[in-house]
Amino acid sequence: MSARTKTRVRLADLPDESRSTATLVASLAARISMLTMISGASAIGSLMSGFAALGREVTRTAEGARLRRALETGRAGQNVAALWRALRIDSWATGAAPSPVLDHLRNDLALLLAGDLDETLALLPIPGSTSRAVPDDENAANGVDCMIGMWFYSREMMRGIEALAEGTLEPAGAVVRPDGHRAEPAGPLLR
Amino acid sequence: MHIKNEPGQGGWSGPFADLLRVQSEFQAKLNDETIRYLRRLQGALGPGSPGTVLLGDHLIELRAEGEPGGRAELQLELENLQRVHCVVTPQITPFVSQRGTTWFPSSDAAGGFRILPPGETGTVVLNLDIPKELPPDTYHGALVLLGFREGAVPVTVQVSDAGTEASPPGPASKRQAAKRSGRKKS
Repeated sequence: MSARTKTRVRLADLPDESRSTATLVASLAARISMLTMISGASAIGSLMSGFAALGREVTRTAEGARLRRALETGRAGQNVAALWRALRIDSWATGAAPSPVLDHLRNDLALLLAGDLDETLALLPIPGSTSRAVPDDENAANGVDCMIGMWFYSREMMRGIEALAEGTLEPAGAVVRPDGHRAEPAGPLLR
Repeated sequence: MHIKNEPGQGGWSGPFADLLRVQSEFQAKLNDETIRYLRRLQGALGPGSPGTVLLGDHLIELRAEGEPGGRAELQLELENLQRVHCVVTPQITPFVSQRGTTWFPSSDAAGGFRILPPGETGTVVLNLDIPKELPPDTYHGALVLLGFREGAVPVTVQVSDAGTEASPPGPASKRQAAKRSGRKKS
């Protein structure tokens, strides 16, 4: 038996921020310009702080809580905590302003799908680059190469983290009774 | 001057050393706090990143029914009012029943990923596998749209045995249960 109810919600702009091609280009340009004004440690610390903030948010979900429990009870979780303490990465990342990494990713994806990007780029004042000209050879970095590299890197990272959690990962669909008894669903992992 | 770390081995000691230590600690703390303040300032003044907010009636709630060993289906219709594409990644929180049972549902949440073009409406469908071990009851949780402000929709899943309806224990049923337990004791 399966019953369902459909509910409708709307996705809208925040009161003071409009998501349009122009504002997304401006946001990306501002991020790039900002990089010349801050240190590399500050930029990377801000990214790490942003990923940690996102991780705390994802932990509230069933899948995130399951992954967190598996990582914390496994060797990987203990080792990463030891590394962060010993190398003081925790205080470094905590001191940095968390970067809204998910918003950045989604806004950049939206830019790649925008139909009016050429017109917007022609109209907007884009700050000039201080870097040297791009050499015209096969070693020149380009956006498509970067996308493919990031796709493979992300896939490797996702599979790697899942593999780290695999040893202690509980089967999905666990039930915890009020008395604390944990009933795991029957599955191939319990065989 | 030769200064050793261990006390009593020729290193500095006495009130002057204490003063120096307190002063050094104060300077280190001041540096830490200054850097922390500057980072926060940087976060406040940094480039803005336009986001998305979820609009809906406050009474909105997703409801589904199922039985242990079965499947409950949740459907959420999303309308993109923005002028650019919007990425949607729905996730399910753990569910808690009125009797205190916690259920960490397995779902095909990865299949719910959508990129909605501007002005279009799409439907996200999530199937929740209901474990056989799950006691029949009413379970409350939420469907979270990560990254959106106020991006959660309450979800209620009614799990009932085949042919029976799960209902929360009311005062009358509690009285009957108390009577039954009283009879057993006597």
